Amino acid sequence: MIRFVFLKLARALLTILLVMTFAFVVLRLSGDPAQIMLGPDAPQDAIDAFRARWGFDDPLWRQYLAYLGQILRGDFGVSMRDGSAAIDLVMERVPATLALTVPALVLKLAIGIPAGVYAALHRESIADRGVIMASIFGFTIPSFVLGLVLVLIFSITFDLLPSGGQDTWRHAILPILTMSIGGIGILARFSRSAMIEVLGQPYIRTAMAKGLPWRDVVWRHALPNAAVPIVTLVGFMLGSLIAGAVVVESIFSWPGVGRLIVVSVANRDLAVVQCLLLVIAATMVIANLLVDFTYGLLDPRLRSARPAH
Amino acid sequence: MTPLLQTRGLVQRYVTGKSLFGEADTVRAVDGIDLSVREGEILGIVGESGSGKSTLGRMLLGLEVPHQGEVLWQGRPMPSPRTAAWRELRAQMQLIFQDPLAALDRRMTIGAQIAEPLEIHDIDRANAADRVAELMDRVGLRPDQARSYPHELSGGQRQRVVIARALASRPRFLVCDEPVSALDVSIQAQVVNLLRDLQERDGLTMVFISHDLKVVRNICDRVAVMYLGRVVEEALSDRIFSDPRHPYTQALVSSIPKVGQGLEGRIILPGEPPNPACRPSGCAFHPRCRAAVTACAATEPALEHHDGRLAACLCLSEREAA
Amino acid sequence: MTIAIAKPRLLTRIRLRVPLLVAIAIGWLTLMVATAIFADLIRPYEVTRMDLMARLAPIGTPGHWLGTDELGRDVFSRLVQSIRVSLVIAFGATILSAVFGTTLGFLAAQFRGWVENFVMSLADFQAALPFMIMALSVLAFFGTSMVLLVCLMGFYGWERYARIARGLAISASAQGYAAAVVQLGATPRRLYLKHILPNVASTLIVSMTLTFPEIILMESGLSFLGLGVQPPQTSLGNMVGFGREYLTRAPHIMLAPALIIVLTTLSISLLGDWLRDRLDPTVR
Repeated sequence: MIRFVFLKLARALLTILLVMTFAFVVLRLSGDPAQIMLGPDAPQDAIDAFRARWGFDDPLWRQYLAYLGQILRGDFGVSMRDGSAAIDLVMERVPATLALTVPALVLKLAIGIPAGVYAALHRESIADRGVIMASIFGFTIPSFVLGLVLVLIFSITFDLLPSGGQDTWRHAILPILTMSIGGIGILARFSRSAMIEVLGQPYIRTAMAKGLPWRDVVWRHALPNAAVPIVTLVGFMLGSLIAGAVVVESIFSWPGVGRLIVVSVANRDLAVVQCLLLVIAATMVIANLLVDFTYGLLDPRLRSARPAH
Repeated sequence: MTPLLQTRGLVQRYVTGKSLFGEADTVRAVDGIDLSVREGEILGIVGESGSGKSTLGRMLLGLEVPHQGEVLWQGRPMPSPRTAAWRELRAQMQLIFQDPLAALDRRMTIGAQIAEPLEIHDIDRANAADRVAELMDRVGLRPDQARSYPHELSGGQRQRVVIARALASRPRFLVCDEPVSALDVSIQAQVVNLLRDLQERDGLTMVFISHDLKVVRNICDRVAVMYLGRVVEEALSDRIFSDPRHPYTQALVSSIPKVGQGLEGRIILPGEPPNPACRPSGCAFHPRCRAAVTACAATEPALEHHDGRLAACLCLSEREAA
Repeated sequence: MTIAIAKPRLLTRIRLRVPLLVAIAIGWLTLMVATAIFADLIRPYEVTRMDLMARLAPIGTPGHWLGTDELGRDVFSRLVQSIRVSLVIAFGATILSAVFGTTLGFLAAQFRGWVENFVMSLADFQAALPFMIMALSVLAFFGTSMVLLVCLMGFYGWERYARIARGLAISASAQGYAAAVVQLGATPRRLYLKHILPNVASTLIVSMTLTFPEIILMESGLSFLGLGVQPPQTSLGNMVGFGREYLTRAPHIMLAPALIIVLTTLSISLLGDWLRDRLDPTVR
């Protein structure tokens, strides 16, 4: 078990290091930040001063080491636009994003999993077919289309809800709906197939043959086993709590992390983009770790072995 | 005359359990084997499962690199696996597998599979189709079967396909690893006879690995009996079967059923079948040997000449010394 | 060499009876592909031709039967061109990602050791970083060009192919046929291209039907945000993005490309589900 945890942690750290390297390589090698920031007509001495100030004159490996060192000290650099610390810019946006993603995640779990399990337990019924059809639509409609259609219906045609902004709780309804509908479909579909697979296993037939009440078979034998694959998907959703709202925040002008990404990328604000990459990757990696450890709790066989991909 | 193939002090070991901090456990699957295979003969290798006979076969072909010792092909060392020289040598030596279905690609017609060695080694590609037809005829397959897929054939027919493919590049040396044990008994004799005919006609050299003494007796010129990675007795086939000397060989030979004879005279081996992970001290066979004396647990017998054969048993050496 | 090496018999394995829904999906996709190929013949106007006298014309206007946009450009013409652009990107990217991922997966299976560890770490890295975020940062800093967009999209989902290809190649090597071919003297190239690839192709094809719609969605998402396909070129997502401004007055500018996106991804998903059941029940 210790070895399992150790290996997982080592792999997680390696992944973070790779993300840091990626951020460095892409953002430093893609162009001259001085030119980008100061514009093509900037005088040469202004460019030189800018380069010296931000350390762009050092050889690349020195820049890389300096960059790693800074991050280890918790210094993610300052925004080239307004000079405030990148990490602060990112962090002050996180609550707004979580205000959308957390309720959306709760909705996905609360509706998706029960719907999927219900469909699996009543196969070929009308409800089952409904879940399948709804889930296929759920994940083939892109969120920007769904969001705009919802705006068209609820804001423009019937004027029930606001189409953008963040002033009241009513502003959050459409973005949360947009985000959760696709996820509900995916989760329902996935829970359904996981459950169906488990229900076909010999130990379920044994439990039924023993004469256990059907409810006990489902709750004590089938659900815990179907949980293993579902946890993977939920972990992925957990990992995208911060990054999963880029498109939706853009549609509804919601001032969260997603807006910040699009704006920083458009402005080529190196430090902020780097910081965002790292924060998002770290969230993903932590979520993956949680999934792996949950596996360990759910299925003792996986504790020693590396779960198959 | 140099033997076609020769091994010197061949040892192979495998790592079984590996823990992060602990020492790795190793098992010596093959433990010091000196053999030579003469041009044109069929050498049988006999032993229970776990005796290391398949590992030995793979090393003879150069498919595995021995941990110690070496394999000499026509007096020259075997090239390392997956090098160009090694690949070139494959045209001259081939393996026939235990499970023919697994050895064939289920998405390719058998005609194409038989032609593969010709393409790989670039042999007479212009006449490949004729060569395939000829090979299929020789192993007893119908010409129209060239277009079928492996799953459409019977087990015996699949093994004929594997044999035809192995013969395509006109190899000089063939290792047959339990070639008939996955087949029905009624088919076994046909395939064994086919191998025997092919060997006689082409003067092939063959190593025939089997746990089944009846089959070995039918086909082999010379037999080596293995126990826990070592050869315990080696002699001409007639001599081994008519007059086995090593107690293990005696037990094996006595277990061959004979027509008109009951089970009397049959030697039942006591104890566990051999496990290479815990090798007994001294003579590895002593815990199950009815002739064992106290010295057997302490001293490892060497493979020595006894009465026209090689055998490794302390009792035989003592009897001669007395 | 006269002995024909038969292709995996796809047609006999797919039963000839096709469910109605799948047939409709195939019909729609055929229409889309035909539109993409013959875009130049189909569209009545140049994509950039403006008719400032007829701006934001509604559906059914004579000469512009899908109406016009804010600059008076014909929506139908733009739609046809967008279908071509989006499909070309999605096809190109799907093939790139399948080839790239499968190659890496095979390399990992062939060499094991550090090569395998390296490939798998890269795959973990790719899975840890949401693709949208990675794409955004790359596009913004390298600028947006069509070639770059296809190449970038070509990384979408490669880690899935790599993992699948590696797993299948390792299990193929453990099965007899790969070992048998190796001992015939085949080079690794021959082993992987002639034996392992045909044996794993059905699983890879199924994975391609999974990534294809996702790539369409990813590209249209990026274009919607204004960071994908750039004007004057047009794509489905890009049309939705610009149509959004006129949601109140001319919703058809947004709805027409949105409908095409939904129908196309829906069709591929239906087709993929059906193919998966037929070809490879092991992939979920």
